[in-house]
Amino acid sequence: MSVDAATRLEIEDFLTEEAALLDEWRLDEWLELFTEDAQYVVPSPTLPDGQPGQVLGLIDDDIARLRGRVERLTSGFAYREAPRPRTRRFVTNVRVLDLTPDEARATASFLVCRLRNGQIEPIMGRYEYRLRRKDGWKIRYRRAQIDLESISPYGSVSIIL
Amino acid sequence: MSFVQPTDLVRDDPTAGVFRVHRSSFTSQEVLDLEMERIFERCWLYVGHESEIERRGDFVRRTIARRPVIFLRGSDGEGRVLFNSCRHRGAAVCRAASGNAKAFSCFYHGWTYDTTGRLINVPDESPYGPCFDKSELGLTSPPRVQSYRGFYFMSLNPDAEELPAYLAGAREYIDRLADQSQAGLRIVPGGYRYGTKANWKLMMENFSDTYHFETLHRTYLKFLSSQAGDNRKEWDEYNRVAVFGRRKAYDLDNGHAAIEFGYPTNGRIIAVWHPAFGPAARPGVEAARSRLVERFGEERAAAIADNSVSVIVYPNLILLDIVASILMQVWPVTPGYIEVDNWAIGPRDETPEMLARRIEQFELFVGSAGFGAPDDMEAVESCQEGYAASAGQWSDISRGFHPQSSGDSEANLRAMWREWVANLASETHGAHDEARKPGVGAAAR
Repeated sequence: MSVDAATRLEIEDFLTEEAALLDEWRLDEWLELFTEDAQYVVPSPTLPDGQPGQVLGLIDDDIARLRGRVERLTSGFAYREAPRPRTRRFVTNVRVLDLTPDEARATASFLVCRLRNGQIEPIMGRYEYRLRRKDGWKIRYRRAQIDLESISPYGSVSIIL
Repeated sequence: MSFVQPTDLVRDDPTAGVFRVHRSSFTSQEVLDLEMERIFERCWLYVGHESEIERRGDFVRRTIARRPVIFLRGSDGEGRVLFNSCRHRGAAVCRAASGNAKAFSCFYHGWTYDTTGRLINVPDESPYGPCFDKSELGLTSPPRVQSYRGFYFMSLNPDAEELPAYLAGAREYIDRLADQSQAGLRIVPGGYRYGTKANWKLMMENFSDTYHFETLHRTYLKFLSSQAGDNRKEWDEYNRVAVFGRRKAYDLDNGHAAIEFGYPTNGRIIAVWHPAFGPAARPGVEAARSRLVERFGEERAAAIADNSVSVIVYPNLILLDIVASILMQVWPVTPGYIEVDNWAIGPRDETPEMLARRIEQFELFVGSAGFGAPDDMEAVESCQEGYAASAGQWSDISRGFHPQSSGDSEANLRAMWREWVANLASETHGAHDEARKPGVGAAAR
């Protein structure tokens, strides 16, 4: 089904609003964007096309683990991110690749900057979303593939990308 | 601060039960230079696992002790390490991270080597004259390359003792890992590297330091507890008792050291089920344990299956055999910056379901985006920053050292440090000579 301009704009707005929730550290509200069968994946920088669960990756969360991740990040005891860092994310080049009445598959480029302890860590890459239409859009699948060849010099990817 | 003697950097007083390391050990470029010369250029260093070079022609590029190398299986079936530098002018002959090759052709002038390192082709050879001998111009190897149970090591020291002798007591733990499967082990694809702004020894300590676990990793423990479902109370109690009662530290000689948890921490994919693995995984895990009992008897099977352990394979490899089996190798870049290689390793014949559980548990705890490792990085980076406070200060590693102390011990960390200081103080070529300090022995203190 062809992608009309209004739907494309709707999805782009959705991604922009999502980015705002993350930058404002409104992580509990961000969680509300996901379906119960959601999956959030960050593949290994050395094997980005590997199948999650069969090759090592960085993140392969179901909704329970994603909730655990947010609970950890907001607990004050996830020391890597407590006190919390500033982040600023740029989501661009949004493409809606597949569209059915119920689902949309979209990709976008991202640049997420994390600022903490006087340092700026830019992480760039590509998002892939599978969105489900359900009172607006919900995220069923969210994949953030980073372009870094290794996680250097930052070490961790412990914020939500 | 400039140090006078390496032996001034460690205070090792068994009578007083005091063990301290001078903080310039973590910050001084002079110390790092000496470490490169007397540790990294003398000891055996892990290069890779046989499963990474399964077929003839398989290769992996690595950098070991700042040397670019190719870890490969030659057309003759032999596992090898070759320096990745053309004999002509020095360019890299292998430029892919990994793959399979019949030959390595230098992109600069086209000198070509086969997978055993032999120089097989030189474009337009005649201008070199009659004395030009290709057989003398093969890719060179490190002076020593050996493997133990599929784990390949190299040494830049031609006089290094044989690898099994060097590994000493660490062999036991490599054996326990290798014995997990009759089919052999394999590195799970997707291993990666991360950087950390800390000294390499801080990270080595951290991976073998159990004291920080309940403090630093409370969010991980909390999440696991939430996954334990109906068994939550039982597992929480299990962890509480185990944490304070069962850990034992071992000096394995030559700087190698282990800390045994004395129980299967939060389950072990290999053979001890935990509720977080999900009920569907239970029969498979229990069957795996039964197979170990059949193969080795209950006592040995228990050692392999039930006991989580962190092993320092001196100088820079960590074998963290906990819920999943993890290899980590720590490379100093500057005194305050390291690169850490991370691999998951498991049975070659694992079912896709168990592999998925293994990967999930790796990602959850030691992964770079996990619920544990990021906080480890934060802690060691914070220590490194703290050393700017006063270069004259000492770090304390005295737990369990005093003759009258009991319970938890950092004897494993002291074993590493004693070898470290002995190595730095030794001007001779042998990696492990008699420069040890008094008071060092097999006893884990």
